[in-house]
Amino acid sequence: MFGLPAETFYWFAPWPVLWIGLALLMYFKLKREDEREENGVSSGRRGD
Amino acid sequence: MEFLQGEGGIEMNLETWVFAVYLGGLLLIGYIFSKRAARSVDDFLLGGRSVGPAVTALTMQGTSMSGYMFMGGPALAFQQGWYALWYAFGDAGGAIINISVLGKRMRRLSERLGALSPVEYLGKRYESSLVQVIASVISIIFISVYVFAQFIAAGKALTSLTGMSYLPALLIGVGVIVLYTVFGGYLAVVWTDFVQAIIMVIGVVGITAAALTHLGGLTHLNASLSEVDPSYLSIWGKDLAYQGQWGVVLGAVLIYSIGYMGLPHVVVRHMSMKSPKTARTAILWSASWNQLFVFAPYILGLCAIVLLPNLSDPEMVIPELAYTFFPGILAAILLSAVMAAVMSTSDSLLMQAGTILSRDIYQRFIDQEADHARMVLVSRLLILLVGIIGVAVAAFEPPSVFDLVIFGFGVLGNSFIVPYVASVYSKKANRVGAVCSMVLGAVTHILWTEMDLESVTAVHPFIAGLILSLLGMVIGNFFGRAPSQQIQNEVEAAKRGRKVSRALDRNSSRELAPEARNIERHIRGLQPSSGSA
Repeated sequence: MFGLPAETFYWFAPWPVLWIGLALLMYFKLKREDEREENGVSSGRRGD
Repeated sequence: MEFLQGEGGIEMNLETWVFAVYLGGLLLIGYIFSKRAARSVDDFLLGGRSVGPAVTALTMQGTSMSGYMFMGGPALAFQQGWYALWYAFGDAGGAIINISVLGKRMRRLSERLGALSPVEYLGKRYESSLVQVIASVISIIFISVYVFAQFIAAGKALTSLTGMSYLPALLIGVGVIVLYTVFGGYLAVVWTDFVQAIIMVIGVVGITAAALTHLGGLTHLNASLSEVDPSYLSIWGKDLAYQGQWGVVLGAVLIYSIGYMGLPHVVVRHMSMKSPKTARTAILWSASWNQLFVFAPYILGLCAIVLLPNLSDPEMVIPELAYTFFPGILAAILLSAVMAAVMSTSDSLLMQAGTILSRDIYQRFIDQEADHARMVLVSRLLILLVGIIGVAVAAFEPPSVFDLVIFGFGVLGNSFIVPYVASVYSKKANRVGAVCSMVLGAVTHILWTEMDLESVTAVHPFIAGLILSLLGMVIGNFFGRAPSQQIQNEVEAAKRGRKVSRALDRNSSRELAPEARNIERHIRGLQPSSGSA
C-alpha cells in the first residue's frame, strides 16, 4: 500500500475513484435530462 | 534595456527565449479576440456566451488553481506531511460539484435575466439594488486582495525564471496580463487560460514524475518520510497536531470542494457556456484535468521533506526543487507552469473586477443609458485602472499577503455559495434571505479567523461561515417578501430547460432568418433583399 499506514491508505486512496465515478454519473444524468427535455416536448406536441 | 541586463538582469538563455515566445503567444491571443471584444458589451464581458466544454472546463480550472497552488500547497505538505492531502482531495472534486450543481441552471437563468456579471445576476435574481451593492463591495475588496497577491507571485516567478530584478519582472508579467485582458476581453482570458491550464498540467506532472523517479517511487518516498518522522504519514498532521479534529478535517475537504461555487470569477464560467448542454461534457474535462493536476504539488512538498530538509522558506519548495535537482529545461517548464497558474488566475480576477466596476457600479448607478461602445471603453479603462493599482500595491510587496488569499477565498465562498445555490434551486429565496446570508457568511468567517475560534472550537472557519450563511438564508426568507411572480416563473423555467425541441428551434431559426436580415437592413436604411420570405 505504497508504504502508508493502513488508516492513511484507506482514507485517502478512494478519493480519485470517487470523483471520477461522480463525474461519470453526473455526465449520464445530465445527458438523460437533456434528451428527456427534447423528447418530452415532442411527445407533448403529439398529444396536442 | 540596460536595467534588464547584468547583475539581477535578464539572462537570455534558451529557457528565457521559450518563455518570451510564450508571452508573445498570449499577446497574440489578446490581439485575435480584440475585434470581437469591441463588437458589443456582451462579447467583451462574457464572450457572447459562446464557450465550449473543453475551454469552459480548463479556464475554470486554470482560474481556480492560482499561483498559491504552487506555493501554499507544497508548503503545507512540507510542514504537515500527508495531512495536507485532505485539501487536495476536496479540490479534486471542486469543479465536478460546481458544474453539476450550478452549471446548467445558472447558464439558463443568467441568460433569461440578461445578466452579464455574477453580481448583476444576484441583483436581478433577488430584485434588489442592496443585494447588488453588498455583493459588489464584498467582491471588489476580496478580489482586489487576490489580484495583488497574484501580481506579487507573477513578479517573483518571473524573477526566478529569468534572473531579472523584481520591479521590471513585475512590470513585464503584469503588463502582458493587463494588455491581453484589456484588448481581448473575456474570450482572450478564457483562451489564454485554456493554453495555460495545459502548460500547468504538463509542468507539474513532469516534475513530479522526475522527483518520484529520483526517490525510487512513492513507496520509497514514504519509507524515507517515516525515517524522518512517522507522523508525516498520518492523516492527522505532523506530531498528530489535528488528531480527532474532524471539524477541521471536514473544513479542509469542503473549502475547496464547494468553495468555488462562491467565487464570482469562477461561477461566471457557467454564464458564458455555449449552451446548458455544455455542462455535461465540461464535467468530464475538469474531472480528468483535476485528477492529473491537483495532487502533484502536494506530492512535491512531500518529496522536499526528504530532498530539501534544510529549506528555510517552505513556499519556495517548487523553485528550489527545480533548480537543485532538475536544472535546465525541466526547471524552465515547471516555472513556466507556475507563471501560467499565476497569470490564468490574475487575468480572470482582473476581468471580473473590471466587469463589476463597469457593469454593476458604473452602468447601474452612474450612466444607465451608456451604449455598447461606451461600455466596452469604460470596461477597458477600469480593467487598466485595477491593473495599475495592482502593480502599485504589488511593487511594495506587502507582507503575509498569501495568508490574505486564503482568507479572501473563505470570505468569498461563505458570502456567495448559499445565495448562488438558492437562486437556482428555490424560487422562494428572497432578497432579505440573500442579504442575511451574504453578511452573516462574511462576518462569521472574518470573526472566526481573527479571533482564532478554530483552536477553541475545533471547527474550521469555512464550516462556521457556511452554517451561519445557510441559517441567514432560511431565517431571512421568513421575513422578506416573496420574489415577484415573474422571477418565480424564470426560476422554474431555468429548472425545466428548453421549451421547444431542437428540430423546431432549428427550423424556426431558418424560417425567421430572412425576416431578421430584412429588419437589420431596414434599421441601417438599406433596401430589403429580394430573397425575403
